[in-house]
Amino acid sequence: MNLVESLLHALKDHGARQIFGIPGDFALPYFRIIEQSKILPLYTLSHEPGVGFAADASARVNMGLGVAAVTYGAGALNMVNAVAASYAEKAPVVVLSGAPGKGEARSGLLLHHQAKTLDSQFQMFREITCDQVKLDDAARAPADIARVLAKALRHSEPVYIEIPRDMVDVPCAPVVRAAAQEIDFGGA
Amino acid sequence: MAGVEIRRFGLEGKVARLARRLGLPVVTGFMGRGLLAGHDAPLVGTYLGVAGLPEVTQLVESSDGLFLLGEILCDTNFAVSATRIDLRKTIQALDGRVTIGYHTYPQVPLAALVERLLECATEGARTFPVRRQVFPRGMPADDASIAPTDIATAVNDLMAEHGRMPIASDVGDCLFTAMEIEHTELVAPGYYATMGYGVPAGLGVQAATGQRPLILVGDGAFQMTGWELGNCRRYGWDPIVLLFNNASWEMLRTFQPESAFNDLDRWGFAEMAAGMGGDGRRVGTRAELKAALDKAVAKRGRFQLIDVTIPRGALSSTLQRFVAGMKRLGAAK
Repeated sequence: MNLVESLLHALKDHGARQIFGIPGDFALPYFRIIEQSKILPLYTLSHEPGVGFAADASARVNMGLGVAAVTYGAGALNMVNAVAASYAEKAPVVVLSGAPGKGEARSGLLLHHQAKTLDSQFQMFREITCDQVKLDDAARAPADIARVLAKALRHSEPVYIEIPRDMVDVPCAPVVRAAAQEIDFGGA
Repeated sequence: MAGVEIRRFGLEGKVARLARRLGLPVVTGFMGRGLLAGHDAPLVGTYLGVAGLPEVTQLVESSDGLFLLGEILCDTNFAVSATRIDLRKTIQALDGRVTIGYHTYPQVPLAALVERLLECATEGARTFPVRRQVFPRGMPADDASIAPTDIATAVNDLMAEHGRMPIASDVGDCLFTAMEIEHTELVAPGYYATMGYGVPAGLGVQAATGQRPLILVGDGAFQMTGWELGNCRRYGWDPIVLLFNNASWEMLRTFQPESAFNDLDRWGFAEMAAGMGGDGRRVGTRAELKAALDKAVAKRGRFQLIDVTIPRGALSSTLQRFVAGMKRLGAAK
């Protein structure tokens, strides 16, 4: 199983039933795996605000995770307003974004779709999601994915998952769901 | 007052049972409209403050123990109040904690709280008699022009005949109009209030549930994201779209009537539908609206766009009450 397959199985296991998205060059590798693995159906739309709103509505009506899949920069930043709406109104939308590969980030060149730093987008989404992760380490990825998806469901708020494009085919273990939190009502 | 969290955490059935056991009336806020639609709860209606039905407003604002269960404490739910609700005298369960007066109890997830309350609340003899809200029915199919409330009436007639449909609504008067439609599942950005939500949200509803949705959207919002309808054909989606077309940013006009930039051009949306794989009809009278809705319901497999010409200045009854109420509040300050 590769990293994206592990992520897709985890999304399904946490209640996601479909993915809305628009690809771009940084997102093509993980979109290829979405399409070929058929783990979740993919519906592509025309403009990223629509992707965010459709994913939000699917989360609301199904009382589960909605998934919005986009590319880095020009795609994800087009969806900031929709994800802010999901955050404000408590819809658990999982934002998947492609990103430059780990190797590209070391080239010293500015990369297309980059706003200020390579992490500008990550910082922007930190403000409108309850947890974030960049899947740049396949050994850590299953635990990170489990944590992020559990938080989306526990808080019913969006989360952000960034996928560097050279990570998609890296072998990865399956995600094990996080244990439910203990609740203490005190002495009552 | 039941809020969106009871839906997000799948608690509608349990909250309905809790309210029945305790003999407590239930309202939702503007944001929570559509909650409990399929459940047997003593639901009095939607709290809209100055814009709402007086009996609902009075019930909420005179309560000495308002229980806010999963309700977002936002202005669209509460700023419409003439009598400011003192939140210190409420019980708030939200964001995984419970607040009573000045005390906050952290890390109490809503699902666990409701479960525990159900264990504590015994089946009692108390009941709260609820007068069911009456929604307008029987739109005359005549040659009169169409006001937003006519659309609500026509939709109520339609759902009575063909069964309830889930609704995705944009913001603006279409969402106020939705308050005049029989309780059914509703997704709308009632608090954050972003335009452009309705059409893509309707596609999300159909993809997620397989049910044919009704989409309520204004012409301003349709200019933003209405084009997503062009994706319906390849996925087999066939929403019915009621486009409230007053060639205007009419909601903004209610706030600031003197601004000419609120005048939009009248786009030929009905004609564009065919090129996008759907069927479009422009209607200007109530008779045409009725005929177009009947045709739309009968035709499956293609999106059905009904481009409803509404005269500028024609507002839904709910928005009229809202605007009049806000003016009263403004004048009092």
